[in-house]
Parts: sequence; structure tokens; C-alpha cells
Amino acid sequence: MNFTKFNLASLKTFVVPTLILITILLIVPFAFVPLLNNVKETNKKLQSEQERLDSLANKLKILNALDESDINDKLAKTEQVLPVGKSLASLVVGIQNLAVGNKLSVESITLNPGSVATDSATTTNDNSGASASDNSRVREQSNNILVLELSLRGTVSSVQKFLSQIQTAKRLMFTNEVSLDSSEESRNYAIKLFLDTPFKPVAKSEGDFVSQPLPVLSEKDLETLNLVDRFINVTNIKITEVQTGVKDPFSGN
Amino acid sequence: MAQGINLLPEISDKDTRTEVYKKKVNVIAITSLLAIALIFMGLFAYQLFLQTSRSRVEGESKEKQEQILTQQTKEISQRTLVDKVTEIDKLLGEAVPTARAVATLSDIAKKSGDVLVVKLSVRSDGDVIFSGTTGSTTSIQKLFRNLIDTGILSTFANVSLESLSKEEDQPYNFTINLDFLPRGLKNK
Repeated sequence: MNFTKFNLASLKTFVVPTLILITILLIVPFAFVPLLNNVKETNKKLQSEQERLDSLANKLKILNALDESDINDKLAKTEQVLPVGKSLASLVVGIQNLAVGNKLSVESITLNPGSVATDSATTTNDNSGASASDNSRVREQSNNILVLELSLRGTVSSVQKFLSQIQTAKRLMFTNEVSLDSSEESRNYAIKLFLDTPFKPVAKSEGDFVSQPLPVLSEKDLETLNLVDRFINVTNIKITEVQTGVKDPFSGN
Repeated sequence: MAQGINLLPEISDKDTRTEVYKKKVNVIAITSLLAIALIFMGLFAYQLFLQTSRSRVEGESKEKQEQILTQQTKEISQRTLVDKVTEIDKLLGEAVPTARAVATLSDIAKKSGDVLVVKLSVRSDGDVIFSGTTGSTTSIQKLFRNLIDTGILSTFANVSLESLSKEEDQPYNFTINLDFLPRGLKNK
């Protein structure tokens, strides 16, 4: 092989294309691809920001259209139907009044305030007056429902009327179980009733709360609102609060 | 005759082809570089445009966000309201109308003659236990006929006589199990 015949000068002509090729090969992975990724990333972020802006604009439009006093008015109505808390005092008195109004004698309304309260807080409301009881029972379920057990005595028609009024009471109450028992041949029944009384604490918001879409009341919701507005309010009883920590709460001091 | 001498060097076809080839390679290389540069610049410009747009959108979002936050109480009230109404609607839709169950069964007992309701239990899943006494089997027949009457077929299902007994000089004791079907309190 004769290397002397190999002409180095011929290589000169490929210097420029070779350099260009090297440049391209270096530019593509080290500058072009990162830039492309950057563009993709920025585009993605821009899209999500744009979506958020649209959502915010839409929400603002809805918010501006809403009447705050109307919302508060409706909210006050729903509070009577589904309160944020248990509101036990007015609930028990309301149920008792309703039962008595339907010629039912109330033997006991037992409740167990649940794991939060102590046993001493367990109360029994009977027709001979309110007294503390250890054998009271109310099952408080995890899904914000307080269950009250009622022992009543009366006729079938009285129970019928009572249940009917319970179903149309402004504070929602649902009969979980009802049993009428007559050991003797009389029209007077021993009635045991488990009432589910739901309540709904204010929900906590999580995440990007501001951009979350604002829910609006549908036609169905408004119908429900109108329906419950016609319900009878049995728990609008003002219970006077007494000072806690006093030795004799009936002393009047 | 005198013959002329060609002073120009003779260029072979091969040399000509090589020159053309070299030229083509250079042109392609430079064009590629220019194309890459153009794409690069285009991308850079697009990236700048995207960043500017993003800044603008972010600014607008911030502005809207501030406007929304000024109406925070209204928003919380609205959310609570819708949340509550939805829950009320759900609860009213799922509840068992026990008043209707007691009323219907009581009416049926009355219609069936000398049927006396001794025990009546309605549970939240619609299970009903109905115990009573009656002086004759005809009344029990009547009671059953009334329970499975086509008019109230959609009210009760799985009507079954659980027990029937009679002691000397005593009325018939019976226990009937049935399912109460209606759900919801919205159509009262």
C-alpha cells in the first residue's frame, strides 16, 4: 500500500461540513433538546394557568351575580333543617312537645352524646322531669347523625300523626326503627322509636380553594329548599343558658 | 499544418464530478446549520412568547384571585348552602316513609275485620314485622288479600306468613313478615 499517494489536501474540502456536523451533533442534545423540553414545560404551565384564569373569571362572574343577602336568607332556612351542630336541648324539647301534642305520653328520650362527652353528660328526659341516667342510649354515627331512642305510649293513630309530623319537621329527623307493642288487649301501645337526627358541620376546604368552581343551586335544589321551607319548625325553642361551674344552678344567683 | 498546443490542463470527468460533489456537500452542510439555527431561534422566540404570555396570565389570575378573595364570605356561604341543600335532598330521597307504612298497615288491619295489631315493627331497611290477633281465619285471608292487593303492590313485597297459632278459647295469633318498598319523603 502506498501511503505517499494519499492526498491530505483532499480532506480540506470536508473540514467545513465536518465542523458543521460536529456543531449540529453538539447543539442537538445539549441545547436543542433542553430548549424543546423547556418550551413544552412552559406551554403546559401556560395552559394550566390559562385554565385557572378561565375558572377564576367564571367564578368571579358567578360571585358577582349572587346576592349575599339571598344566600344568607336561604342558609338560615337550611340551618333550621340541617344544623351545623347537634343542638340537643331544643331538639329534645321539640320532640317531646311534638309527642305530647299528639297525645303520646313520653316515657323517655334517651341520648348518649357520644365519645366527646363524659358519661355524666348523658341525659334522660322523661315525663316526670329531666334526670341523669346511666342506661341512656344514643348511637352517634361517624357520618354526623345523632340517634335518639324514644319510649312513648299511645294509640296507633297518635303514632301515625307523630311520625307524619316528624317527617315534615324542619329539623330533619328520620325514623330509623319504629315498633309498636301491645301486650294487653288495649289500644294503648308501647312505642319504641329510634330517630336519626342528622347535622352537618361546615366542610373544610382543601387545595387551591380560590380556583375551585363555585357550585350553584340547581332547579332540583331550589325545589328541595321550597319543600323544606314548608315544613313545621318544632325546634325553634329558646333554651336559656345557665352559667356553668356554679354549685346550685337553680339558686338564681 | 501547424498543430496548436492546449495550455489549459485537462480536467477529467472524475475531477468535475468530485468538485460538484464537494460543492453539494458544503451547501447541504451550511443549509442544515442554517436550518438548525433558524429552528433554534424560532424555538427561542416561541419560548419567550410563552413566558411573556404566562406572566400576563399569572398577573390576570392574581388580579381575579384578589377580587374573589374580597367576596370570600359570600363564597363560603354559597358553598355551605349548596352543600347543605344537596345533603338535605339526599337524606329526603333515601328515607323510609315509616308514617306511611304504619298508616297503610293500620288501615289494612281495620279493613280486614277483627284484626288487632299486637306488634308492628318497621325498620330503616323497610323490613316489617306485623303481629296480631284475630277471631277467624277469614279475617287472616282478608288481611292477606288486602296486603297483596294490586292497588298496593308497589307498597309491599315478599309478604309471608311467619307463624299462625291458636290456643283453646283464644283468638288466632299470627305474624307476617313483609318488605315496605317506598323510599323518600319528597312526595308526601
